Amino acid sequence: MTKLAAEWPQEKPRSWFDPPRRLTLTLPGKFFLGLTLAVGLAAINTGNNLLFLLLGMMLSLITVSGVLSEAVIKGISASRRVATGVAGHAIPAQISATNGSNYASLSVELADLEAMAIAGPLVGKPVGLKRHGWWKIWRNQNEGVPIGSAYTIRIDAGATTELDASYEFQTRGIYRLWDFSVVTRFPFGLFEKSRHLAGGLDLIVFPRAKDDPEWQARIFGHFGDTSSNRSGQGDEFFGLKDFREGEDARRIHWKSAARRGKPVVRETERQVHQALEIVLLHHVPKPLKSESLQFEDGIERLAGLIERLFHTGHAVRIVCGNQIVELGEERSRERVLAVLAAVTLEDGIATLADPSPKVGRIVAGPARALGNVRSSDVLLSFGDLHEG
Amino acid sequence: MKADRLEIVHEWSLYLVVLLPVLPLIGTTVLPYAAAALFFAALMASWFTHRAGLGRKIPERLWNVAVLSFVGLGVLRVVFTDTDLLDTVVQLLLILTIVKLFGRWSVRDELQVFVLSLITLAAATTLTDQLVFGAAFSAYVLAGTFALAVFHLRNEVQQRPKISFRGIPTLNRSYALVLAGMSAVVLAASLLVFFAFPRIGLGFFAPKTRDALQMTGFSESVELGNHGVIRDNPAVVIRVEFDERPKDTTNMHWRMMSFDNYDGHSWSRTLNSKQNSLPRVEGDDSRRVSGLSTRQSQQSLAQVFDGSGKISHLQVYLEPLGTTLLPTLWTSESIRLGSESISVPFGPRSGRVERDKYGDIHHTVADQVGLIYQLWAWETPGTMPVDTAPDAFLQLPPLSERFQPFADSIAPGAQEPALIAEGIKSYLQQNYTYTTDLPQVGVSPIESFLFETRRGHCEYFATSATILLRARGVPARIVNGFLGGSWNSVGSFLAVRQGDAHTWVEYFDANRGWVMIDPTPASLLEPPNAAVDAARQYYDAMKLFWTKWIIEYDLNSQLDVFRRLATSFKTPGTSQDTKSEDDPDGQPVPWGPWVLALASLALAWLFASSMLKNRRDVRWLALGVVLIAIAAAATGWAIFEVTTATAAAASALVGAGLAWIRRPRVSSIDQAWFIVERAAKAAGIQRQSDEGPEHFLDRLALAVPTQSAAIGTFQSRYLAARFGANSTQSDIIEAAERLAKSISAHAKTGRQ
Repeated sequence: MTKLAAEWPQEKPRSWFDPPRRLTLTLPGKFFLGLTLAVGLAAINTGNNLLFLLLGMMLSLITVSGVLSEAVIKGISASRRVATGVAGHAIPAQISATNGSNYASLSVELADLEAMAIAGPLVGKPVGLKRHGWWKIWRNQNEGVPIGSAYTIRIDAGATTELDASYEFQTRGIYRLWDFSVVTRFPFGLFEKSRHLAGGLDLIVFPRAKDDPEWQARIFGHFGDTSSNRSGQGDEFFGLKDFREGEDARRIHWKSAARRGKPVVRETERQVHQALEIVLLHHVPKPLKSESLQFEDGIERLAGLIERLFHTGHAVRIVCGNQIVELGEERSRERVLAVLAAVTLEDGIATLADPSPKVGRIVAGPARALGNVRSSDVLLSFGDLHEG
Repeated sequence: MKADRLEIVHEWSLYLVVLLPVLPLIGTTVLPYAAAALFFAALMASWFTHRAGLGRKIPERLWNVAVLSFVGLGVLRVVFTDTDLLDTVVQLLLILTIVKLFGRWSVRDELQVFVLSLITLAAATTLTDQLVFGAAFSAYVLAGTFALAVFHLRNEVQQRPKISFRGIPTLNRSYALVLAGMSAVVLAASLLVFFAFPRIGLGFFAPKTRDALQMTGFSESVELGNHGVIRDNPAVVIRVEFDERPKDTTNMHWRMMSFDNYDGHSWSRTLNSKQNSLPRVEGDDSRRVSGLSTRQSQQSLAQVFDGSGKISHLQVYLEPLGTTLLPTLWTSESIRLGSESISVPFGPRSGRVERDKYGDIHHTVADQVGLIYQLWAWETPGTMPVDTAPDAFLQLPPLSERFQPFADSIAPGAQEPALIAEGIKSYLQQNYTYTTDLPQVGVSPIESFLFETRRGHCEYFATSATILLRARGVPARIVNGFLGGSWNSVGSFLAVRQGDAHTWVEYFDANRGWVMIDPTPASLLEPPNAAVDAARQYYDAMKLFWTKWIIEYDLNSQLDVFRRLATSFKTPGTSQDTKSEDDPDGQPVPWGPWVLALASLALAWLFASSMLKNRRDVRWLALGVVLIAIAAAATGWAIFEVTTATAAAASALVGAGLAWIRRPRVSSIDQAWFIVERAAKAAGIQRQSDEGPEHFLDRLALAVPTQSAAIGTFQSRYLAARFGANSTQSDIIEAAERLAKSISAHAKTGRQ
């Protein structure tokens, strides 16, 4: 059984044997280590003092590299702010790094190296950079890329630096960013040393919004639309306001943000439409692999539909198992999309409650789950079988 | 510094890193001057083509063809000519470096350039051990560290996501200073590691024997009759450190080899002299543990020399001379191979000192290595006390009728050898002139010198004095060696140069033995330019330092350094020479390990308190403390052990096993010589132990007249390869084998 989100530890667990610093060999480091071993062997074998001299240089470089890289990362503390994002799109973030030591830190990278999916289709799986032990020199030490990172050449002693970063996830879900680290390859790029920084963070990654004109035509044809002018999601410009965590980064007005020196978002006029309830069925007996793929596709199409509904001013209520987002709740769009981010196709029999009065109902789910649904509901099937 | 300047700094530092390992190779067989010029031209061309972006226009296939052609050519040269494999490999490295510099388009290409430069530097260690390598190495550490750091920075700037930067990333002055300081730290750390890294050579694949890379050469023959200008060769052959600076070094005679037979043109040795080992000095203080001495014995020269006055201690560093003869100061009291340190008597540097019938001193160490030894010399030189002198020392060459009356006319009436010798010496010094610009001489060089030219160098004076002494019935001989030397005030040592080579005379006095006289008058040569002399002094001092602390630094020196370190911890007043109440056996109390252990504990406490203060992980704190405690215990134990004889004995036991593995290998030139010598011996022509190769082969040619031409060819090839600049040796073994077969066939025919 999959762990609940609350059961995941806030920070990446560390075993007794894990050192407080993580060291990996870079490509130049591999060359250098190989040459050091070869020179060492030749020196010991031949007793040639000049080879010992060379060996001395190479060992010193390794030692100095270790000492300086430690000095660089030792005094660094950092925090980051990451906006809610959409799978497959860059998520902007800000990392604030402070150098608490008495000397400048050079060539520093701050990165969320790994995250654990605590909800969504990848639940229980780590994403991001996979690092192998330094002794496995026959393979790439780092597999993949960090989820997000920022680099700076210098952080002065006692200074705090704000760095822009970019995060990216390919799959929707809720992720625990539990391996936030300060990383450096200073001074020679032979080794990559990292130190874990405290500060686990959960990040919701919404599903990609895929437009399905056929679904949208059916919904708008069935329920119709009316409009009124209010601040909210729409096409017309309404005003500017400060960017808040969780807001859609695509709405940042970059020109104004650059002028003001802080991110601001564009508010648009909202067109108020009829309230709709979307019931998402996510249980089928013994789900097939093809159904899982169709489910993912369906979630993206549903996200596209919901985005469209919010855009056109509809009030949307979503019911997904025990999770319900009521009409008119604050930040209901984000909350509805968060439900879509976290849902997974599970083994079981889907049940459907009676519809709420005065609320149009849309029932979406795998084709097999829609078998006993009343004909008055609009059915959106995640598959090829009897859609509609 | 702007970002584009970072690129420029990177470019310069990369080229510097490529250039520095190549510098020590210039002028060697790997990179003759013409090839070096080509290399630099290619280097410059790559600089400009890269900057102009033309490198891509050169098709990659062209480079592949060039490299493969060189590889093919190299294989052919190694197989069919005398080209050394290592030389070819290093040349290939240089070609690859150039190719990479022309076609570097990615970080990986530049990384490969760094790797190639490092491999070239490693290869250079086996090709040269000259001071220029030391200079290039130091520069390489500084430049290489800086270059590597700049390379890293540039890659970070290029590869990190653009979003990371706010504005143009810069390499400012403080950053550059940090990198420069770091380079200096790495250089210092390199030297520290160099001195501390255990010098235990396993020698599984190669012997730990340094070849005579710079064979300064010492002639084992004296030949008169040549003319022309003798050049003052400034190459230092002997460096001598004194406990106290001597008042006068100009009259120091470094005796090496004496001769008995003069055929009118050249001197040779005819006595079949067996070498005898010299006895240990009574009360020799070399430590002994379980029968294994921990340093080589001090051997007495009482059977060779006598003298009087105070005895002074000299530390001698001898460059490779290609002979087993050992320069000894006239007159020395005793001798010990190695330095004044714990010295384990095994390996290629071990050996003993022997004397032959001439009284010449030999060592048994491989003759192609430089040697370190100590001398104890008399303040007032004496003589070589012997009872009789063989008749060989009265032999005279064919002389004209006017010679004997001339000899009798010098110091007429004198009967005592000393009076005759002094008379001849005074006569020559007053009536003849020293010159290095030798005039043309006649059939008999000596008679030309005495009766016609009246000018010559030391060999003419010494030979004339010897022949005149013999003509007067006084046994005499000439001696080759070095005279004087120049005091190096920078390094506080005496530098004896090849230009100080000298010949003098020893005559036999029945009451005193062999007495030395030097009939050569003082030279009127101009002293060297002051600036040149100062530069030479600095260079020599650096070379001594380089030889002493880098090239010759071995396990013995290392143990000595540790021993001195441990001694510095001892309680004041206790020393090895004085017995204390605590230590009735005279062994010092080993305070060092205890002090070290306490220091380590203090360090552990500081570490622990720092960890607690910073609220670090307690597990790592515990681990750190345990590691420090183990390190302290191990260091203490190691220091204690190396200061005791137990460690030395253990080293000796291990070393004795390794000695066999690391035994000196015979070079192909020596091998060729042994083949011929064995064949000659089988044919009944045995080489005398005091006989030089040239003389022996001459004698062999006379004994085997049918092969005299082949022997002559072999002789010239062998001498050129062994002592000359031409080290061609590819088919010398085959030539020796062919010659040996012919000699055997001749012997067989003779027996039939």
